[in-house]
Amino acid sequence: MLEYVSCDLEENIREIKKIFGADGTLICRRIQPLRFKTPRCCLFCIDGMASAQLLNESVARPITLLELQPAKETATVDFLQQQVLQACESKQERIVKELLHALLYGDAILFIDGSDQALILGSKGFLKRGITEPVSETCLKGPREGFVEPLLHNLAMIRRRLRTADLKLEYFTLGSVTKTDCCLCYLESCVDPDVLACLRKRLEQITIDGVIDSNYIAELIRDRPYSLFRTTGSSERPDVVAAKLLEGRIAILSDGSPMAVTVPYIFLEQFQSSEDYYVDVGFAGINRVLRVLGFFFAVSVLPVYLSLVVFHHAFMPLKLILSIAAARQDVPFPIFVEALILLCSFDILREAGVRTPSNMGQTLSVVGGLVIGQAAVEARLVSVPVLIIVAVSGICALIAPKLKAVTLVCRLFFMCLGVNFGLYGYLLGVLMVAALLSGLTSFGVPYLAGLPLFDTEKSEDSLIRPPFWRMKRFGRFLSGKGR
Amino acid sequence: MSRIFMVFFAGGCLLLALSACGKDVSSLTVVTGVGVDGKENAYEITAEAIQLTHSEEESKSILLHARGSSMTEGLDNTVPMTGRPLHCDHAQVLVISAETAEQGLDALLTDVLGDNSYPVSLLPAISACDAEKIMETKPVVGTLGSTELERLITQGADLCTNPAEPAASFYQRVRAPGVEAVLPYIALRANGETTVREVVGTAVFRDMKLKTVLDTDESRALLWMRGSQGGDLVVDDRLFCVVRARQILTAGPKSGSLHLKLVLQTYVPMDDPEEWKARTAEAIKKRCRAVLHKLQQEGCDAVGFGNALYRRSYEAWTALPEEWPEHFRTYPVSVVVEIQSIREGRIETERINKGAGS
Repeated sequence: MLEYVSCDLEENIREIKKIFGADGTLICRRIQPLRFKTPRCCLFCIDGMASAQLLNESVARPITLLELQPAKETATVDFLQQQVLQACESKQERIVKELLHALLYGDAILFIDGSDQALILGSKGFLKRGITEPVSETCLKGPREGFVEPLLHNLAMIRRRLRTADLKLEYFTLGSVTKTDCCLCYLESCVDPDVLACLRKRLEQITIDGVIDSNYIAELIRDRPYSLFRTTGSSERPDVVAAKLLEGRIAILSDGSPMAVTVPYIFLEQFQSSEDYYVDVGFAGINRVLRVLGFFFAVSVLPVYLSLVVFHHAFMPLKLILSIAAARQDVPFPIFVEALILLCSFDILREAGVRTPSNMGQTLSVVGGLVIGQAAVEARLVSVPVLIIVAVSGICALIAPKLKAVTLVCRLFFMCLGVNFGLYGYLLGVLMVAALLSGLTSFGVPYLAGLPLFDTEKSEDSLIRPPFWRMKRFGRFLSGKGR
Repeated sequence: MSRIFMVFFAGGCLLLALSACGKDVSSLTVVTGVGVDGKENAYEITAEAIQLTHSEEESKSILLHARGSSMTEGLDNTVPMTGRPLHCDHAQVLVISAETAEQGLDALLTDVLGDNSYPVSLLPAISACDAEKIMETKPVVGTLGSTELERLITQGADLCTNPAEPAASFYQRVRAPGVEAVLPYIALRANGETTVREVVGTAVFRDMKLKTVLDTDESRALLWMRGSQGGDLVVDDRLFCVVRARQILTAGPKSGSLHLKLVLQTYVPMDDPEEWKARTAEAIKKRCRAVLHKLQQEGCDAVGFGNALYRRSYEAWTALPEEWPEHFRTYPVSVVVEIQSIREGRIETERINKGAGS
């Protein structure tokens, strides 16, 4: 394969065709002025990736209708680039590898006979999704824009919200095969230089053949890859990313992914929602507390119930004991197995509901409700109290969707401890998770930072959102000056 | 790395496997009340337990009978009958026959309170007949005889007709110097063709042995002297309701005598209150003196005079020539009853009229 562009047009054409072989999407179009024999050119583009209309109007037509010739034959490329072609983006390039990269990303390349330089012409015209409201982060009040797949569109959405030269956008490429364009976004005055340096170091160390989604990067730069608790955040909303940048965080966007990765990421962020900042402060506070309580109930209700039923009978009123015991009569499984069956059923239904087309969702919920609720109880496969407790636990888990995996694993872990060692076991499990959390960091920032336990001044926007007039400055918490 | 992972994996699997071994509440026999007959080292236990069915409403109580050298052993002997372990944490009443109580409750209560299986709120009561008969009597209200009995005892305590003291505090009280314990006294009463249970008074103990029984009127006077509030009394065809009661025990000079001042607060009728109060105080004093006389005859200081002497005049307590219960028989004690009226937010119309006239 040629390393550099040859001065011979035919050799360049042969080489490109040889590289693509039988690829039917490669378009090769020879262009020559009507009135002159030179310059003879050849335009390459990929069908479906490049805009044919744009290339016709800004490249093919001006060359065909050329009325002047360059003063020197050696300056043909400059002449075409500066005086003839009307393409918005054009760049001279002589390395064949770079030309191919541009060609595969929807740009066109123009070879000119007698020139060892080719032109890369911006002609990306592939179809893309329109800007819609993100499904995973819906809110009733506030902006409804969500990131889309093309990187540039996403960057534009961020820049539109942060109109300052302080916003730095650093491009880099990841993936030896995919050559995915990625971008590092941060506000220079807010970001912690240590965190930035740490992130750059980790990004440099990445060796991977393909980056299809930003989660690939998130997983590669995470502090503890096996930890249940994510130390990198992700958002599909430009307003959220802009707010995080204002708080001194760094965002990583990758081409082809509508999710932005944000670092550092602390535990409390999992209970925050963009809507907290778009509704009344009191209502936002209540919602946030509910989310925390929801998570707590989701991981605790079932283990505590099992502990009480198996070990601590004295804690329950006689009426409740009789009610539970009567409901459990003739149920063939131990109570732990019963809870496990219901939990699995609940999570299978939840997962199926997410993957099922929306028009089938209703059917699924009816079938799920009937089968799990009515039939299972009547068939004495499960008891009503466990069904209620699992339902409460499952619904509470939906309040904090970012902690879905954590809830699943912690709940099972606490259940095992609770059913084997009672409330002591459950409390031991809680302490173990608390110890794990306290030892976790995200890019040097303690994972439990921001909890009112440590520093009330730096944790003003933690469990309860304070009014904006009390938040003196964004970014105080994570920025270099604030820490 | 792989070794640590394997250890964690094995630990997790073991934890998961063992999790299914726990026995839940549905595999237990829930005991709601226990009746004890017989003598020390040969108790006959009657346990009321709940026979569980699919529906909570259909659950019936069953009686399990067994023998044992202690209450716990007797209860354990009922396990082979049901094949299920006992759950006594929700036992509500412990009925002890008068015959057993006369022999002494020390061993029995030590057994009950030394075992964590029983709740500290367990209400002990003494039965005039066999405890087994009390437990066998069908409840008038509800399906659980123990629950009915527990309600009877607590309602009686609210009305000041019988004491109600959990086993733990009963045991604690009798361990204090110079005070004897009291427990509710239950008997069976024929009601047409059926027989019902009734709390008929107070069983008074001396050194943990049943000595005498007071009827409901005597019980009321005793409980007022002990500082319990509630209850009523009819004086001159008028109802006297005790809203609050206060017991003030004082020791005389050089502790040669003990004085009990009983302050009872009530809502006084509008006309001639002072005269009525004096008559009421005199009537209550008379009752109290009668009860005290009965208690002194038996040497049962259920009011706690001895305890007051112990606390307020320890030298006199230590100088006592004999044990307090014997000394109490002849010890001079006096009772003063004071009736105080509560007139919350009362407007005296006479004074208003006088003010308006002037």
